[in-house]
Amino acid sequence: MIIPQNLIEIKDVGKDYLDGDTLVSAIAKMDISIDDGEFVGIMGQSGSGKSTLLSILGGLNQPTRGRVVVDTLDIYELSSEQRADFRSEYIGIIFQSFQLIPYLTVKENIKLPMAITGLKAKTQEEMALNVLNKVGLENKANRLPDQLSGGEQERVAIARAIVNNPPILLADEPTGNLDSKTAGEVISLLKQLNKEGQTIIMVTHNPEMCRHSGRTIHVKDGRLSS
Amino acid sequence: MSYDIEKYREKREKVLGVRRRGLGFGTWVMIVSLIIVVGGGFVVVPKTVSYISTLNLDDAIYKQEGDGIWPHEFVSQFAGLYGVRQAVVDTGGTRLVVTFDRTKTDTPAIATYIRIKGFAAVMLNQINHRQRVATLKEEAEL
Repeated sequence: MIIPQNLIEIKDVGKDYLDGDTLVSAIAKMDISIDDGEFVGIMGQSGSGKSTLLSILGGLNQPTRGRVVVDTLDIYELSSEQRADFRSEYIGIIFQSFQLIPYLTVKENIKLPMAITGLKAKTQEEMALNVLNKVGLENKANRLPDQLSGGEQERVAIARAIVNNPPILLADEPTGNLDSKTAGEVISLLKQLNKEGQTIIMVTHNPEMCRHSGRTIHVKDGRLSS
Repeated sequence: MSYDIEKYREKREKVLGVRRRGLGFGTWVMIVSLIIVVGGGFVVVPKTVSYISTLNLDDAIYKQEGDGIWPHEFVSQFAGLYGVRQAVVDTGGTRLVVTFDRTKTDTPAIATYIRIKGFAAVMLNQINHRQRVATLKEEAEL
């Protein structure tokens, strides 16, 4: 086995879609290396391929060509069961629209990713409370999502994404639905997590948000533009 | 922070299946099936063995003319007779019950043996061995 230099290595990755009879190339060709503990911003306009790249990185979208290697695992060479385990062990995802289950409490939403891990109920409870404490929502554990503000809902989404201690946190426009003050709070939380060792890859079209990341990758028309 | 291949070894091994996260569904199904089969086996196998081993057995019941008591030495000699599984006398000592394999011997052969040994006997009944055992069990319960 050749030991890679980085936690994440994306090599010659491309993704084509068929739109009717037309072949559309969402990602033409990309080579990206991301080290453990980096905070990387992926910036580009709508349709530039940045969200496609994020889903490929998360093991959710098989690329048409190329390889994605995370911690020596060539993730699209894994079986579907192994890839599901990979997502559970390595990846936490924060969506722009939070994707919280409205009829579950905050704590129950956070426990969801642990449902398939086989952890004991007591351990799950402890981990959920620990992560709620980390995002500053320990006093709102039993509320429903619609009883929270947008910023609080985003923090619940972040808590849910990190509850399994994944090494990689993928954030798709995490501040897209928030006002600038709340967005600032969420970014501060992400920076804090990064300081504690979390690798964060954040997709955004907002240059202001990328200012907080350690490195920014610009994507344009399915290619790296700088 | 630079990448350290050892840092996420545990996670990597879980993904690759080197380190198992408890028992899989298939393993559980196999264990439960095994318990059912083995448990069932403990119930079914002894009954089956018992059934097969007594399949061809009959009991012939004799009494001496004049209701004499069967001598213990004579009864114990039956064990060496070909096809005879056992011979016992009832509590009064007047009834001789000979359990035999009907594929190996028959009542005329047993009657001849009794006659040769100097006893005048009458066969009272010939009955399936299992049926007689069941009847004795029912009587004991009553």
